Amino acid sequence: MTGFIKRLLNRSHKLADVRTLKQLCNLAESHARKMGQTKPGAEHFVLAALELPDQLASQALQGKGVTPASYTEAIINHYQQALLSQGINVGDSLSTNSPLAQSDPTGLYHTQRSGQQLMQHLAKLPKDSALNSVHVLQAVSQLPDSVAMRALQSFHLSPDTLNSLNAHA
Amino acid sequence: MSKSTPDPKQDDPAQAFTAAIALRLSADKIEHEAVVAAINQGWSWSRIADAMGISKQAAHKRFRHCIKDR
Repeated sequence: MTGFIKRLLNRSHKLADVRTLKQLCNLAESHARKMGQTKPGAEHFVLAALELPDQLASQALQGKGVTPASYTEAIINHYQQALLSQGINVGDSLSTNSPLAQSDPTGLYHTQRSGQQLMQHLAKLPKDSALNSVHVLQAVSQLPDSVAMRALQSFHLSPDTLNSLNAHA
Repeated sequence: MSKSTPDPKQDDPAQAFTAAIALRLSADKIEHEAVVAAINQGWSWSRIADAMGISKQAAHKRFRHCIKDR
C-alpha cells in the first residue's frame, strides 16, 4: 500500500510539474516578446517565475525590491552599462517600447541558449516537492555569468543567496 | 549610435560579452521595426529581402511574425 501511495504521489507530482512548466514557458515567451525578442532567455524565465501562481519567488525577492517591472529595468540597465563600458551608446533602442506581437502558444518552446541551460539545471535540481518558482531562481544561481544572474546581482542577490532559498511553501 | 574611444583596459570580458549581446538585440530591434515599417508602406518581400541582402524566402521565414506586429 505504501508503495502504491508513493507511486501515486510521484505521478501527481509529475503532473503538477508539467502544468507549472507549461505556465513558466508560456510566461517566459510572453516576456521575451514584450522585450522585442522571439526566444526567451534565462532572464525571461526569472520574470516568468515572479508571476507564477505559487508566488514563492516573488515573496522571497520582494524584500529586495525585485518585481517584474524593476527586474526588467535592471536587465535593460545591465545592457546599457555594458555598452557604455565599451564606449557605445545606442540610445533607447533597448527599451521595451517596441514589443513583438504575442504569439499563440503552440506547445513548441524554442529558447535562447541561457534558457536551455536553465531548463537543464532545473531538471537536475533535487526536488522533494512539486516544481515551483523558487526552483527557477535556484537554477539561475547556476548561471553566474548570465544576464539573468547579473541583473539579479544589481539587487544585491548572490548565487549563494538564491541557491539557499527555501523552495517549500 | 555613437562610439567614443573605449578604455584600453579590457579587464572585464563579461561586460564586453554583454555589450555584444546588447548590440545584437539592438540591431534585431532596429531590423524588426524597419520590416514592420516596410510592410506598412506596402513593400514586397522581394524588396525587403533585397534591402537586407538576403533571399526572399529567408526574409519571409525570419520576419513573417512582423505581419502580426503591424
